[in-house]
Amino acid sequence: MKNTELLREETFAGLDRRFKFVGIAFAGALLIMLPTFGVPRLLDIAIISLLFAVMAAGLYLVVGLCKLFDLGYAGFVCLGAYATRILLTKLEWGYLPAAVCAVLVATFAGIVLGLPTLPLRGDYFAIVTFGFAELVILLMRNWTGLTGGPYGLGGIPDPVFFGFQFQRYPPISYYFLLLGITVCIFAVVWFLRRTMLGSQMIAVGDDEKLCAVTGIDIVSVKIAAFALSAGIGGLVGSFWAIYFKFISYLDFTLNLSVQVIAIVILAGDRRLRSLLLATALIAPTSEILRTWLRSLALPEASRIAFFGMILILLTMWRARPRSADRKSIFVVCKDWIEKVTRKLSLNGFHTKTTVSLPHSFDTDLAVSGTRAFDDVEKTEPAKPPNRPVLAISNLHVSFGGATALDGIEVTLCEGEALAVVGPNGSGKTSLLNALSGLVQCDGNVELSGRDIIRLPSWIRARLGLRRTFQHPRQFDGLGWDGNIHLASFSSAQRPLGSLLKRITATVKAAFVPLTLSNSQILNPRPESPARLQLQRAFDPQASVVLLDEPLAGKPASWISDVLDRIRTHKRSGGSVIVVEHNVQAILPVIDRVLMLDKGRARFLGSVEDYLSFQSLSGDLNWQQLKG
Amino acid sequence: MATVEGLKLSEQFPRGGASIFVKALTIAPGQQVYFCGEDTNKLQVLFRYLTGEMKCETGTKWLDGVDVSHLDCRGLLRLGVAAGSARSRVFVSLTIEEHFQIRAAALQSPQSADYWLSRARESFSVLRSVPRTVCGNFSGGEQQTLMLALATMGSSRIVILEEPWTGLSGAAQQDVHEVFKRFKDGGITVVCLTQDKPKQYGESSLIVDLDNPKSFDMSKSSSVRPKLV
Repeated sequence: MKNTELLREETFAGLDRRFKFVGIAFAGALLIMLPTFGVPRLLDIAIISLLFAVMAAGLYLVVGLCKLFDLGYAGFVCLGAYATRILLTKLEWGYLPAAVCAVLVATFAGIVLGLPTLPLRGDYFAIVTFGFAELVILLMRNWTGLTGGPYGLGGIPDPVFFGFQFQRYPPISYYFLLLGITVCIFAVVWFLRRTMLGSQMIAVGDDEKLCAVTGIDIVSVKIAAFALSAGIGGLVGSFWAIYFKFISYLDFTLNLSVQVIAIVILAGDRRLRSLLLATALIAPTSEILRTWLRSLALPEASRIAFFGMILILLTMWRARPRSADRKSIFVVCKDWIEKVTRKLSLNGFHTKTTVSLPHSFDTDLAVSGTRAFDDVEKTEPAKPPNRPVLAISNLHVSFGGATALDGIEVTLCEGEALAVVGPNGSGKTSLLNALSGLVQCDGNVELSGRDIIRLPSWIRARLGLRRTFQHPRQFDGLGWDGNIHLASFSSAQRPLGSLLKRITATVKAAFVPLTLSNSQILNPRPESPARLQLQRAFDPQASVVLLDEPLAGKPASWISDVLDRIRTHKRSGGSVIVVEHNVQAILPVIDRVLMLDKGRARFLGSVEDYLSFQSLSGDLNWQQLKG
Repeated sequence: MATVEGLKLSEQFPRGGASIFVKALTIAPGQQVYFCGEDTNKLQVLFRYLTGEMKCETGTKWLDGVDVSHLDCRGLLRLGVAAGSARSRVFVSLTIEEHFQIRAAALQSPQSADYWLSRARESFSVLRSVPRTVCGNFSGGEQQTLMLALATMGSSRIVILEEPWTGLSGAAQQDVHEVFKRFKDGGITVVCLTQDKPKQYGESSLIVDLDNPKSFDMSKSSSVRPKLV
């Protein structure tokens, strides 16, 4: 039964590849043959659609992957267009250096805008980027001497490439230039999506808090995405200038940004083919409407109204609730191909198809979770505590006037496990949040002799401090393997460094390919996210692992797995702090107990002392625990 | 009397799929039903179906002889089916009093929100000591207790809870069991969906193991694994 299912999956994988190949080949042939149709307006619409496709690919990095709502994309296009025009006509540069310069100008603007604003999220980020676009427009309107102000800039010559003169009418040469640019940009974005930097961008978009504790340098990743996106915008601007021959700030208003954002949002998921499909739906529609309504002698406002209605309908269609057994157009086509193939008695093709699953790490181990711990002798006593690895002194945390932690002092040694217990609201999770840098706190926290109290979460993670959450978190866009791969890569990076080193590391990440196939990225394994976060936390580089209620609501098989992991980590010299209500279950693996009550340490001592303390205070059944 | 007949569920989650098949399940007033299973997806699917959060391919839900399959969470709540999940979030910018006011309005309760709040504080010791600030400052356990208190307030006939004990201290768990006992006495049905099997069962508890067997028929005792405790 299992073999049959595997064979079916392999067959589908093979069909999927074939279908994709046929689709790409057909689309490529159509695009190449388009100028031969001899319809100038069709070529014009195709060029505008390709421009939107490139812009959408640029914005996809920021909005699609990092989930940052950028309303200022038109500003970068505007900068690129004006830079190209000025360099071409006033300084009489060639198109190629002018285009490169336009890209650099836009990228620089992206970095300058990004540095102070990228810590913002949501509405604030949208407002700031909108402000940037308005600032660029104001600059272009009022700097009359350079930009022509309200009159705009015209007289942009046709470029010459290595002796080849571009012709505006008919714009076949422009079309092929833009087609080449589009293919290159999509190839770059496709490649980036399959590198470590691409995964980091998705991770930032999914869960910033988890990124921080995983060791991802969020600001650098965002700046990389923003700079790349702005650079692509600059490139579009440079083409815009030479194609339309006239530029005005009125071309780069919020409308342009909104249209590009609409494409990215309509694409919905993070697949490039969805982006292409959304572009193919939206970009030509606007131009076709323009032609059609003009022939009916209707005003321009009617085009906007029609276009708005189409956008609403498309968005409603895209965001419709879907039943579990819905079939995409690709699956319908695959089913049809399979049916036809069966009829023709040619269903032996699956034997030729193989699925290769390259692994950079032992994914089987990641799945089984317990396999690595099978050979651990559970009765073996833990190594005696030695060198202090985590020293906490006078730790204070408060929220809105309420004190969550008050003067906590505890030292954790290598190979030691500390249980943090207490009633609800006693400050257990706040302690883990303070140690992992997710909340502001006062006091001293030293990790291996290094003061980490002012360090951000991602640096603490790179220093070996890992944690799990009570409600498991994961990067939904990456799948199991992607999550593990990203966590092990990010946490293995150097913890500190100058801004230049951080940027270098981020650029390097763009050249670290993911050793996972596309199917693995898009089809996450159905294991529990709780197991995933446990696997992520107990990696070989972890020195201190903070576990937040790992046994809450879990069956007995899970409990033994967690205890085995803690034992193994202790044996390798690592330390563990575990917050847990089910004290009885974790007693076999812990060395000391910290009991919190209303933010204060009520008890700190060995397990035996804790049991005596509890029997005296009557909070727990002593005999039951001892048994 | 609540009945679920010919229920077939399947849902695609970001991390995998889940499917459940139930031929027939009848729950009597005052009965406590525990759906246990290690698969979180299955539990979530069942919870979402029972509470009206999702529709399923086939199957019907009956409440006192009335087909309620088409009703959503709000409609079921009006008919006295309350729900609460450990995955639910409280409104972090609202105070505990505001939460109770909103819930009382949704239930169209004749009693005031203050009445229900004082009753919740009597039932759940954790709520007596929570800070008088917005709920975003509460700990995870305090937020969960608040969620439970909101789910169990009002004059509901059926209370459906997902992982009610997760993240609660021993004392808070005991409070929940006391509330369940009170519900049983009052003829209120409790349906719990949980990964870990509860440590205490009431006399009329029905335990349904979702992992074994995969499909079960409550009407035929020979073919089902669930047992009455």
